[in-house]
Amino acid sequence: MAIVMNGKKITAAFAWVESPTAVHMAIKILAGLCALLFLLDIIIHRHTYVPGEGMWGFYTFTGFFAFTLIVLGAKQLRSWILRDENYYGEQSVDSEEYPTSQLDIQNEPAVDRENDQ
Amino acid sequence: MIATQLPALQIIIPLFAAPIIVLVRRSELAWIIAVVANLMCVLVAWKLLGLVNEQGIIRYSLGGWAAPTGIEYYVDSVNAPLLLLVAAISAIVLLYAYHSVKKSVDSNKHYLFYAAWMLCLSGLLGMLITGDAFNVFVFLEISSLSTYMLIAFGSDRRALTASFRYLVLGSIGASFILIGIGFLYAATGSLNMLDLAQRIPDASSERAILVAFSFISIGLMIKSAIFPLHAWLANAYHHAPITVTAFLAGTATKVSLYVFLRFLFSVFGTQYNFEYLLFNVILLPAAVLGFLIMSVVAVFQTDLRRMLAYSSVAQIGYIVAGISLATQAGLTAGYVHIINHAMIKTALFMSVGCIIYRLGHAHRPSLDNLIQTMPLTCAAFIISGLSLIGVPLTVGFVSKFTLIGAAMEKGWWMMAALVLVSSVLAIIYIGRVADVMLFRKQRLPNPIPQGRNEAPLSMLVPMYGLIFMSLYLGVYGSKTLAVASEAATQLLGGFR
Amino acid sequence: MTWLIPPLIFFYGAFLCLFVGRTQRTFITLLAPVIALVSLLMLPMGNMAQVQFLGFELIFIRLDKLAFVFSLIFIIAAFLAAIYAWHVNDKIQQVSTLLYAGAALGGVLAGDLISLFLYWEITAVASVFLIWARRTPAAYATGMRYLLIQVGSGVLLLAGLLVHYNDTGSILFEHMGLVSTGTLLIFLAFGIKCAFPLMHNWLQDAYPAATVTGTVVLSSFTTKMAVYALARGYAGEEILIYIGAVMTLFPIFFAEIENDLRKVLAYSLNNQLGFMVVGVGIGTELALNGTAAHAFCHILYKSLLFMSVGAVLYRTGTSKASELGGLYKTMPITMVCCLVGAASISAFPLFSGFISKSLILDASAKNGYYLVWFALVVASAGVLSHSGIKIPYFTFFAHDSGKRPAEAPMHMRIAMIITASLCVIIGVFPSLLYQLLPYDVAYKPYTTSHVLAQMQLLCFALLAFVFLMIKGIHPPEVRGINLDSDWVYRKILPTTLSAWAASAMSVANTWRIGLQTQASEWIIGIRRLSSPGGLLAKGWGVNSMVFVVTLLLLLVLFLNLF
Repeated sequence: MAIVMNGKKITAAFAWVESPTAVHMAIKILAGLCALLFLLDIIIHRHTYVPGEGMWGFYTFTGFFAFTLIVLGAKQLRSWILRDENYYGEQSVDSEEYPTSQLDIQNEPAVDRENDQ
Repeated sequence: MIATQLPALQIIIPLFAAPIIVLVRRSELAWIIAVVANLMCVLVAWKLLGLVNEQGIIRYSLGGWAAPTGIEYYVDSVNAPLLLLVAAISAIVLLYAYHSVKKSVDSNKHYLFYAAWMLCLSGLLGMLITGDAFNVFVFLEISSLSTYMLIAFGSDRRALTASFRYLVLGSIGASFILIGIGFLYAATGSLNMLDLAQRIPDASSERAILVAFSFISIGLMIKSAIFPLHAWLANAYHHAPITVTAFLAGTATKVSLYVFLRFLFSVFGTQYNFEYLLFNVILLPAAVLGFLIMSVVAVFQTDLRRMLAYSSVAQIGYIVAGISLATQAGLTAGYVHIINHAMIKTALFMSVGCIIYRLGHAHRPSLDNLIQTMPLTCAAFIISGLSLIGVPLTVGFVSKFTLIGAAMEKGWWMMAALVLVSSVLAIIYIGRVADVMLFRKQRLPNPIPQGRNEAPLSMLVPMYGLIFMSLYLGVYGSKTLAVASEAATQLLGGFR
Repeated sequence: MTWLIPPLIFFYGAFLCLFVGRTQRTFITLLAPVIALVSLLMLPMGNMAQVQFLGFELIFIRLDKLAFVFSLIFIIAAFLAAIYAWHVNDKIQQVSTLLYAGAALGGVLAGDLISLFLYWEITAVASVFLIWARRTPAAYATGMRYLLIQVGSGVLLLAGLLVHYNDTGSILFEHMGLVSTGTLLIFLAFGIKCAFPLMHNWLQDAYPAATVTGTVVLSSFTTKMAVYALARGYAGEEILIYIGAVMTLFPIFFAEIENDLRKVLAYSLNNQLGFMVVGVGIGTELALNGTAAHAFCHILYKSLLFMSVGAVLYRTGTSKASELGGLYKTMPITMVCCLVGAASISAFPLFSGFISKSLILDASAKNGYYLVWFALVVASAGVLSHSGIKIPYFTFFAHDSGKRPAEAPMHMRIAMIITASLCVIIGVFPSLLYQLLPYDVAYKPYTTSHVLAQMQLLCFALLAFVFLMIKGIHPPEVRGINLDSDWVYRKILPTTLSAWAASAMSVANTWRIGLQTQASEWIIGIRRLSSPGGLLAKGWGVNSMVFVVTLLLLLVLFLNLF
């Protein structure tokens, strides 16, 4: 896939990540890896310190459920504490743009790309 | 030969410089004579300090009349450092004064100005050096009268009222002191301080001593501008020519405080329980209320001179707080702050003087972004301001640290905490000025003209000299502390 | 040699920067860390630069292995930040960066509490300019809040050290433990700078408000100096274990829903500090090694993450996740570096986080803190969620924002690549770092069971992410502010105060003069009294002055005679 910037056509090195097949492939690889790690837990005896740590699949379950619970918990938290960006008024950097004079913004709009195609 | 006459020279040089200046009349020459005389004073004071360090107390009988009949000059480790301090600060401000005075004082009155300055200096040095109670009063009058005159040189007509009010109050203070000395004489039959110290414990009438003590205390509290008897100070400092303010801020109140210390500890002695009453019921609340209330007041001032004036009263509160602890550590803290505050406040007023020299005013809200036009002056103000706050590595830190330490040693935690509170107030009032100077965008209808417009070098050099001196003494704070601790021992030990 | 100690070299640099032009300034910021490194390497172990001050013996240099490892990483961080900030042409930022880095270094090398206090305050004052350098009213206000809290921490430290000195007669900065009021005050001072729970909010408030380069600098020093101070003074203090455990957990939730990526990183910084604090709390040799190692690695990968997000901000003008996405197309190098940082902070094997975090986890397990250990494991999964996935995914992938920024400038890329390389090198050759650690403890991070366990944890957490994304349960990025404890002083306090003032106005005329109006009347009264022309501040007339004098004289006479 090629995209245009500053009138030049350049090739994105990682353009493949956007293709649906690649995404599916990545998910499949991840699933396969997980299955493999899950099975390895039976074969390899992990050296443990904490009671219960040696339990079959301890880390797999912890990883999955800890992550899920954190995301769900955070979602709940957001429903309580999310406010508008101007909540603190003028005195908050959230409600202002970063002063552009201190930046070097080189940001070609995506429209160019559409025109090119 | 000369070495034995040093105590007399200390007073005589400036005293004689004054009439010579009046005779000369030319303003440049007047300034030069004043500076030379003053530098000689510094030299004499330096020598005296060296002598005291070498051989201890110096007693000098004026005119060869032996004490207690004659007048005696008495130099020890308490007043020798202060002699040097007063002479040096006067010299530095005089060097700095040339341009500033030229601009603010009528040119045909310059000779009077410098003559008054010399008289004032000899009065102050005399109060420090003399060992005779009545002589203290004489020198006090010399310095006060010339101070009224110096204040009245202010360009504003309000300077006259300020001077007049100070005159009334100062005269009341002086007459109180005179009354007190009179009572002392009546009770003991002596005017020599050492003699008094010996006779007071077995004086016939304790009542007379108590009355003397009360009058002298109040009189000196007025002269030292201890809250709530400080009211003359703000107007006087505000409307006097800024060089005079810088001079007085570093010397006049400090000398009065010295005399106060001398009378309290050396003459009356600490064995009297009425002093503890005075300390705990009058002086301590006055000191604490003083540094708290006056710091709050300083926060709300818009004129830098007024702000610094109230801050001076607050700082005198610290000194008095240290004194009222009446311990070795407390006296050390009070004494060291006499020295340190003299340097800090003089430097601050000098930087304000530079601002006034260029802008013609010192109105805080109109100093927007002054750092662009007067970077060196602003830097001087901010460095000295940090010292006033008590940032580590400055002399202000040395003072506050010892004061807090002394308060905690005596178990007065509350006072230690209040000193910290008042330091926060100092951060606020200095911070407000720094904020305007550094960060505020120009938004006045008639802004300060752009481009460098620094004060003349002849003002900057003495100012930075003083600042570097105070920075040096901040880093090597143990030096001044050793001096102060020596003085405190001397004071608590009585005359020897 | 006393005049060439490492902190002073930074201060000299800062001083020089005041007077020279842009190019020279840039070189000074680069050179100062290099010279400081040479100076550090030449210093002998032990105490140096002792100065007598007010009767105290200040020890400006106390070099041992613990101080060395922190000093080394501070110098490296200052150097990397200098490369990253090559483009900056701002005297204020450059001077304050040097002052700040020098002061943090000085704090780590300080051998007594007074010089520690000195540096403690310099870091506060110097660093605030990195926030103010953004030069907006909001940044100014944020900087003020930051400064107040930082200076407050210094005041606590001063109070604590005075009390401590009063108790023990010693100002040495060594192991103290929570044994008295003094040590408690010092502990709180450290706690504020270390962003303990409920004292943490200055961090999330201030760091995202700093400049692009300023945030990178800020992220390295203050908090790690506090971690060092805790490790020095309070190692083995059990309460730290629980404080640390809470610190690892609660910021995760905030980071997860925060939209500003620099704020996400600030929360994540807080969470990483939690690991270090747990290590300090356990206090065994293994745990303290873990804290030092984790601080070392953390400074690198956190700088790297702040650098990559900063580069994005530099090119696009925003660091908000909701406005970003799909940047991998035009910023591939930044993306790869960001991924390395993400992998490091998530502690993937072969990356630096893995070899440092496991020291702390093992220490907690070996000493029987099972619950804390479990909290750390859960937190590790949480780190993956916000720093490992959220930062790179929503910036460089996710939905295409349509932004096509140019790749980060050359100097930023160089800085990021060096930092990323360091992360990988330390991850692959852990012994390089281990030999620098304060204690000689044999530790092997790469055991089969260890790698397996970590991979299981991370891969299943990733799986959960994929699952949540596919199901659409994962919360989307939305613009907004999330309340945190700063709500108390940014919203409640101002509103209450203005409500007080308002009620004071309306109620003053009626009979209902309650406590509220009393308070505001006091304030108004003080103001009225103290302003120019007020009772306290006007030039009193002669009459009133004489009146006061008479009154006082009567009082004194009365007291003395009766």
